[in-house]
Amino acid sequence: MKKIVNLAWLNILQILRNKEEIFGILILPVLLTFIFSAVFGGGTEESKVPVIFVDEAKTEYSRQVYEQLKEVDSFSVKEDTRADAKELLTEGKIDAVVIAPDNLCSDVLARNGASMKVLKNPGSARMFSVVEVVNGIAGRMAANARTSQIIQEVVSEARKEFESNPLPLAPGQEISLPPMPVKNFSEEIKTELSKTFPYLQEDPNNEDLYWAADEKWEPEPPVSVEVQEVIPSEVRGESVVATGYLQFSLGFTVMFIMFIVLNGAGGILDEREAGTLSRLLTTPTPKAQLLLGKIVAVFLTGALEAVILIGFSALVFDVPWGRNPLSLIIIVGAYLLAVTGLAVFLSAMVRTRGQLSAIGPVVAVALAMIGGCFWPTEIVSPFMRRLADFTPTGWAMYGLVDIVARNRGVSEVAVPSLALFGFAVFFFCLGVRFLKFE
Amino acid sequence: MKKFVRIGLKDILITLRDAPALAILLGMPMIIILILGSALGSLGSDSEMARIDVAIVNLDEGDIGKEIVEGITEGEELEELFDTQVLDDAEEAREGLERGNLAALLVIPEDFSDKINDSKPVKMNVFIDPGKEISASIFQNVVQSIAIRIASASVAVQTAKDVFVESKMVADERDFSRHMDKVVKEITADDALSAVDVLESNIEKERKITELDFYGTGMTIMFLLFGSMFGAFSLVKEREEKTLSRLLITPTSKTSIIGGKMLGIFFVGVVQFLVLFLFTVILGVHWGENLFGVFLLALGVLLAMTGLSVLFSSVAKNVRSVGAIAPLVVIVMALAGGSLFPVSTMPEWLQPIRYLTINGWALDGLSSLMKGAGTNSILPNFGALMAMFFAFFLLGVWRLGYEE
Repeated sequence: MKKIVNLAWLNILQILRNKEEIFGILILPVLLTFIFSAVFGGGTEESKVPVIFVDEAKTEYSRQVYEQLKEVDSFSVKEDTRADAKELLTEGKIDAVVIAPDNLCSDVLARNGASMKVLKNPGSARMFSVVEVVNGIAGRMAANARTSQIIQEVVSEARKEFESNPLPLAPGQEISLPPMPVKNFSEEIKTELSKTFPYLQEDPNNEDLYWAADEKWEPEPPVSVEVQEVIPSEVRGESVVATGYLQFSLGFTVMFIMFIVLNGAGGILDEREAGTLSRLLTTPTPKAQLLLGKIVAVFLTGALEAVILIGFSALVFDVPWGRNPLSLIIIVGAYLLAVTGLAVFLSAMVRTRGQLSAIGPVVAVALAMIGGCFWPTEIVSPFMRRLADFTPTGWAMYGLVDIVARNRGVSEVAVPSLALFGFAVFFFCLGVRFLKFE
Repeated sequence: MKKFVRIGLKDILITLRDAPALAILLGMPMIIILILGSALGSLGSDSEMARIDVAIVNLDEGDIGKEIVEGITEGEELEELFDTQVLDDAEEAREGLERGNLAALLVIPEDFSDKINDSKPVKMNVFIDPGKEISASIFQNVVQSIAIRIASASVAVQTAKDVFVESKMVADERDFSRHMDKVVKEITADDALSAVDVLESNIEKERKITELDFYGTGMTIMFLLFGSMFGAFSLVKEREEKTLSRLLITPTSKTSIIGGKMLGIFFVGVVQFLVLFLFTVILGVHWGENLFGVFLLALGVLLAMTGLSVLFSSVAKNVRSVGAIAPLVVIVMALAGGSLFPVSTMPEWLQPIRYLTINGWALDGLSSLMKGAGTNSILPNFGALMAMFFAFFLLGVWRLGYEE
């Protein structure tokens, strides 16, 4: 046991003595955390979606679109001309432009194929929320216009009925009606009639009906949808976890831990290349202890990395890591074991340290992609999703998403942790089987 | 001159015979881009996507709730999209969501129909799994559009009621309900809400850059940079094994040696680029119409990469150091330069750091080419890459040690 510790310590010292590796192990993660946290961190204040509204119609209708856009908390809406807005969009400074074209008002009222335009920045993921909101506004306008039209139809039909059969009087009413049509009524009778049938004087105005209908949407629409993210024992509003960023911050941490463990795992190859391994083997140190010492060192280096990456981002930048540290430790520990196992396996597969250094990052990137570190596995085909089950990165992501997004506890991460242990055992066995000591 | 070419050729041969090096330079990026192709290429066709698990709990005793459930479970399009369970117990459904079995859950409240009929505002509740935000948001949009339809009907009914009552147009109850029926029938017709379209368009003249395009080009550039590591390996190894000292004893100038080495590294990079370029094109990555521009940028990247390998050789003492430092530099450049995720996800103040990287200049140029830009607009990018080449090269040659 003491030998294992000594060997591990020696190996760590070897790593720490090399200034390039110190750079890789200490400075780089801090730098990365800084970038990550800036990119993916809490900072919700800055993350309002910049939207520009172009009002070419300049009517009550287009003003209303503007007012409704402004009411959306997550947008910061400004007005501008179409040309300027396009330029800003092309430069990538804004995510979307909403245009109310000049014939919007007349087209809406006539139900004449009115349209609002949304120009999007295809590189922005947030434009979807803009399209969604504009769709909602368009739905409201369409409903108002249609309502107005239907009521006019009903009223005019009712009038026709009345005109052809002028007797639908309220009970007890006794007005002797002159012959139709209405416009032939004398002023006197019209006035008398209007007390009972004011609609006869004129059709209800299209625009008035539109706004009468529109009032019904305030202060809240008759039917609305409330969306809540659910985590166990608690329901929280939408804005706590910044959408989409969670995937990235977890994914890149998973990738980097693997990246650095694979990179730091050349110890045994170094000694083999330098010939010191054969010398060590002549001493009364069993191969198993020797190997274990190396492995412990790799594991500890990886653990140090993980602590730096997670701790720094959590403490300094408020990146969310769930509320159950124990389950986080378990899953990250299991993942470190699996990755350390992979490192041993890869060391056995290559001949030189150089090859390991070359293959490590590439393997890390490939596994990160399949495992769903770069994009969520929910968007890929079922086959690719199945493939993720065969990667340690995939299981680490399942576990971490459970802990961070769903706030799960220890018992719920048992399956991913066990899967990761399985990978660890599998890779260790293969690695030890194929590792050549001389 | 002749010597310099021969050293270059010898290095190319060594690399081409080195199976692990070839595997990493060509095999791995191909595998990764292939993964990308199958993971992201299928994004366009919905049939490839698995159905999204959702559930509905209808607590409403009236008709409207029932209609919503039928609308979601029986509509053909929606059936393809969602695997919908209709559950009775809201608590149980919540637990399913918490366990990650469901992406989203719709709960229609108890007095839903009653409140709508009384013209009182009412809410449907959608609960989503924060771990499956994309699938959940698809369902959320569907529910949102159902809500707008019901709300429209309610608005129409309320308005009509006001108009009919105020104008005393209706003589009795029978008359009233006859008119109202007509209003309801019209407003709930399929095309009732088609009055206002929302036309979506991307910025004009610009082609949408797909995820496959993004990762295909990003990965190609990243893997080209790994060439610098192998270049540094070959130089440092000759130094470590003292073959460099021996070479220096022969009447070969340092310029020939470095030049030859760089020629080798550059040429291997050219082969790598051509193979990856063809491969990505076959997979459907769109590099833009301006091939001259693409090759010009590739030339810039390869030169900068060659310069970088000289710099690595000068900074690193031995192969182990190169192995420690080169992949990290490459990955950090990939990260900051936009090979791994789009630069636009970074906060604005951080985005300029991409101009410190080879990837940043290259991808910046490539993305404008994809959007149809001409060669002129990428000349600054090429210039920047050349500047990097000279900076790396001069710094490297200045610091380079020829003996241990």
